[in-house]
Amino acid sequence: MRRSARAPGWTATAYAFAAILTVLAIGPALWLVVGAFQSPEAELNTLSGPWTLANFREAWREGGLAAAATNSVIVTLARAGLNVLLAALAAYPLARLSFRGRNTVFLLVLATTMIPEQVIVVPMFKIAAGLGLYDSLAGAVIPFSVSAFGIFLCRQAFLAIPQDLEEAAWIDGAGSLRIWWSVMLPLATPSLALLALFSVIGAWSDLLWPLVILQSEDNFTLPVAINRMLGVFATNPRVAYAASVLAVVPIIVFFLTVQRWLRPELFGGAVKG
Amino acid sequence: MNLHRAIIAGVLIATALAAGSCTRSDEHQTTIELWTLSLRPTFTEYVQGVIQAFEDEHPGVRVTWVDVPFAAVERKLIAAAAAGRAPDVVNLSDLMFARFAGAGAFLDLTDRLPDDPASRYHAGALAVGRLGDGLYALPWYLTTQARIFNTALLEQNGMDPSSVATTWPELRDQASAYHARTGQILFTQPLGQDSQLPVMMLADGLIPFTTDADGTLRADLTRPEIVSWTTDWVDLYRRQALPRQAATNGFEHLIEVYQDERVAVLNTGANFLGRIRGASPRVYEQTEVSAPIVGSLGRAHIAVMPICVSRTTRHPDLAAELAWFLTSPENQLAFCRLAPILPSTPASLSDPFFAGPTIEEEATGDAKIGQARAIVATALSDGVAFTPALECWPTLRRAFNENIKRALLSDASIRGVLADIERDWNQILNETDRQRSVAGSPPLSIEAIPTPPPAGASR
Repeated sequence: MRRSARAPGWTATAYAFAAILTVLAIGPALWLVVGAFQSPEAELNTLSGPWTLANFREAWREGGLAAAATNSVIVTLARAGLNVLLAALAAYPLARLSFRGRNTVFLLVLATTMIPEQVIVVPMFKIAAGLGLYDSLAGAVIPFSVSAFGIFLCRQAFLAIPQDLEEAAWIDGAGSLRIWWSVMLPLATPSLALLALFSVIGAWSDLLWPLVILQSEDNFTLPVAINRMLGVFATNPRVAYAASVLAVVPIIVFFLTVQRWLRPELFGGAVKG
Repeated sequence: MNLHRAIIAGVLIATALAAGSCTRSDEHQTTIELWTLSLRPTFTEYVQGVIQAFEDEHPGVRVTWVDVPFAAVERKLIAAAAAGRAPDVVNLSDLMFARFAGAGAFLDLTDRLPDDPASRYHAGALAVGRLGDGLYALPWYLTTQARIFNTALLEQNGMDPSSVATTWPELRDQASAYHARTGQILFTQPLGQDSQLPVMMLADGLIPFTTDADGTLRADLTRPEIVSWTTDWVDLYRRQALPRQAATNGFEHLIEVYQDERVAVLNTGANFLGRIRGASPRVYEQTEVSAPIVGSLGRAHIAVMPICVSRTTRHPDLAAELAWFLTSPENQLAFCRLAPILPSTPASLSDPFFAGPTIEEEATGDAKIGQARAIVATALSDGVAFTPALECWPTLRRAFNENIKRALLSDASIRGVLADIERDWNQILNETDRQRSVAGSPPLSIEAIPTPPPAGASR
């Protein structure tokens, strides 16, 4: 018996529900973009003009966004890069090498994901300040240079790589580090790219830690600089909106660039079955 | 270059750049660190000017100024103090000050000031910095409130703008009648999150504390007059004569509902006028400003921004001197010319600037801001900081907020909720007394509760 076509009422409801979710998801962002282009004469609670680019100019000039953007690029590259490198390095033995307590170590690493950042800010600050990292970009990078989530992601990616490939390299005389570098990393590229993407987004938009560890205006990252524009005496939120829009653009560009590596089928068919 | 080689190269370059940014301190000068709240970039020039003047008067002294966003200062200060890097001088809100002062974070300034602070500062504002026998903060700038109303909206709903009540009990009745007649909402006030009910209670002359026979400070929220007073406010909310956000949101909802014309009246700081102008020029045009809404005592509430000196500073006298310098009448007057704030030094108020709009304000269409300034400056003379000088006041307020939300958002018995708050408050007061006892400080006293006589009457 042929399955009956879905009732038109059901489809309409599903579309309406999807539309509501879409509005909820992108509505605030859309509002932000519209507000960024509104001139001071416009009503902020409407989506109408007059329009201007002056908010962007003011945000760039008054907010010191050029220096903040440079700092953000440095912090983000360092944090994301270290995250990928160190997580991949830590995940390999947890996935493939046999040693006593391997599962316990892995569980301990996973357990750290349960602790909110806010809770560890004070002890982390104490350690960072003790290492002379206070008010430095290195201080914004090093405490977040590896994440438990990254280790988990890389471990799962390494576990999915066929053992035969590793054994073939082993027979060819490669050591553990060589196998990690020449076999595992290239084959885990989609997961590494995904981790890089998450790390970049996390580092680029992180506010709490840079706010605590950075002090000099010269060292501010973009979120800290933008946060400052929403002070108690600020009267034109459109400038802060414009700054936020400017801050989002590099993330979108990065996503478009990195998405070509996000291919799960990269190592499919490497081993004859 | 493949991906993982690119990553390695990027990491090395970025890490080298990040590591290169480590700061080096200057060992050849006496350095004082000053933290302010959300003053950059608007007042950068002013603060740098004051710092320069201080440094000129004190050769060999360098002041490092750090401006911290309002929302981050508590976390940043806790982290800095834990790492032994607390600033020498720090500006906080009155509630934050009480919390840190209670933990012994600040220095007693009583014997470190060049002159009698009582002759320099507004008495009500200075009282905020007193805990027990010590003076742990100097009052910097103040804000008090003005009645802001949308004349067009009121007229559209058949209400004469000049008839808007000037006291909370009258406004409550007016809001009830307005809602019954038009279905509209007259005003809003945070009652749940950042609840203003404890402050309004004190401003109405109701003291939610009492003392035991041995002088121990106890909560007293279940006596009939406080139950009846609270019931009137909760009932107003339950009848939907206040917006939903009055229970769930703090001060940030005031501008939102006012600019959307969902309410016609606000009692808020004059600095909100600038934000209304920024968000909705049309509503700003329709807005007028008048004397603040006050409690039955006829006294406006003052919010104080205290300046404190860290107990761990290596330069206590110099730090106290900087706090004194920053809060001088001259420096405060210059600051008030730039920001919608009031000085804590009555001497500054005699300046014509506080008499009404300046010529520039008239010329640029900002006369309303000048009028608001004159109104709040007048209200300041009778104003009182209805902020008890108790280090546990922020904790008491938090316990109040959590419980009163339950009364607002459900049909819970108001007396029952107040009994719960009373129980929580007594636990907090007991714990504070225990901590004081360990520290060798005198117990909490009812003297810490502001109980001014009605405006116009002598104490």
